[in-house]
Amino acid sequence: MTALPLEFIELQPFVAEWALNNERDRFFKLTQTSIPTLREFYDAMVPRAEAIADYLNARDLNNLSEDARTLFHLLITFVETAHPIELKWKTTDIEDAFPAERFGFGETSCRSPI
Amino acid sequence: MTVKTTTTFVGDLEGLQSRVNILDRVQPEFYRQEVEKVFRRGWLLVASVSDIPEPNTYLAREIPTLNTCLIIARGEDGEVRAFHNMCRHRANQLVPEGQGTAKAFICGFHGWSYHNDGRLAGITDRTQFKDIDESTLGLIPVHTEIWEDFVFVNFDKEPRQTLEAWLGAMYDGYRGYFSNKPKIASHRITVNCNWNIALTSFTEGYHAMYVHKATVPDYQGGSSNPDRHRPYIEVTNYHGRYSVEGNPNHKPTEVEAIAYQNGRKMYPTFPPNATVDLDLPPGVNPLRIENWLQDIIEIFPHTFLIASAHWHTVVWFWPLDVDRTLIYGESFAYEAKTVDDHMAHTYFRTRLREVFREDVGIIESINRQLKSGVMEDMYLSQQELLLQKHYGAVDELVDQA
Repeated sequence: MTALPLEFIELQPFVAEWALNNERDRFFKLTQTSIPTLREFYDAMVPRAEAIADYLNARDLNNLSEDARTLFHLLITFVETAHPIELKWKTTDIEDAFPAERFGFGETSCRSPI
Repeated sequence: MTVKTTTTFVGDLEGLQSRVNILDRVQPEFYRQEVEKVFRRGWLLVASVSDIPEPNTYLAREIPTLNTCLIIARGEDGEVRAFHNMCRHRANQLVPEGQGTAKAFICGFHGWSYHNDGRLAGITDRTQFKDIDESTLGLIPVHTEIWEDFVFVNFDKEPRQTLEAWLGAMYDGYRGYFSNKPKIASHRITVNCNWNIALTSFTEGYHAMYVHKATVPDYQGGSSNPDRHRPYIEVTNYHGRYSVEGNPNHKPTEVEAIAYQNGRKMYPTFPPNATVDLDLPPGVNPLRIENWLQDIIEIFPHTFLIASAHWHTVVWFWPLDVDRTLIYGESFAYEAKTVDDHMAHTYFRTRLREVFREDVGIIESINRQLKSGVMEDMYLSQQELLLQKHYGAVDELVDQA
């Protein structure tokens, strides 16, 4: 498993599940997890998000070390999966929305730094 | 006392019908007319020029309504051309759907090859063919024109009007706005719903208060516009557009605030118009309203665009059959350079994605209900004027010989 930079080592338990590098994986992770599991991740990330952004802003995004890249993916997954907690959904999917399992993703011209 | 938002209506409203027959439209016979007279004769938006930014890049895109797939290619000379993705030998598909880079396309069936400007490059085992003229065996072209960042095609033998005439009042007013933004999201679904029902569930704001409670409870409305009226609604020859007023008292969630703290303000947050540091062309937020969230622009027949200060979205509705529609949604934004930019982009694309999933969550059951045959017509409000125009335009074209 990839290690995080030492400053953020307390977030290490979330890396395996949440340091995802594309929107599709984040979406299916989100809709298949539970609110309590998501909340643990959310609660751990909220107080650290600005420090993570500061840490990464001081670096060249196109040339991140492996631990910084993992941190980047953890941050972006956090941003993309915060909606059920913040909007107070009963589950990690919206009631009455188009079914997650029928939702598809295409190509983009803009990838997250690899 | 708060001044309430009123709607400025623009365009020729004569002849628009607030009562629209809906039962006929979900019948196979009417759908066949739509395919032949609307889709085969009209100019169709098929791709964004941004998808093929460099010479020798191409995009292969299915046009399921007309049973074809197109190669939209930028040649070595920089010109954008569209061809059927079909070998001229025995009709095999040349390249799979998707984006790529190629100077030539080579058929996997018997190895015929084509330059990316459509000319035949070579026939394998050439001496075994008698009486053929290579100069007539290039890829089969489609009438293609470019407007702003969009590629349009026309499948008629000869287009009945120019793209400029087809776009009418939409043609001017967007100069440069849609260009130079990378694609940051691409979503794709197939719905069991008629294409008109699917498209028109997005082209009015009347539903927003009811359908989008879970995703964007307070992005519109507020004391000056409790009924969320559109400040500007315009209909043109076939198309329509309106501006959406944001709620100045919108409360960003915690992560929304983090995501837009240093990056540019994106949906459902919006920058005050006076602070938008872009030279927006006159077609975008035409009234220059201060609490401007976005514009919705229907480019008839099967797409709508969302235009905002720092991003735009294109949504396609390709009919597969009378009751099935392929929907693509693609979003474009300024290039992300910093972590703040990436947070803004990813927050935006996922919040909008969930709003979109609410919109499409409702339409399959509507289609089923209409198929019951119980309800013949529907009554549309002034805030649903784009629907009046959409159905009027469909009828005008279907009624032609």
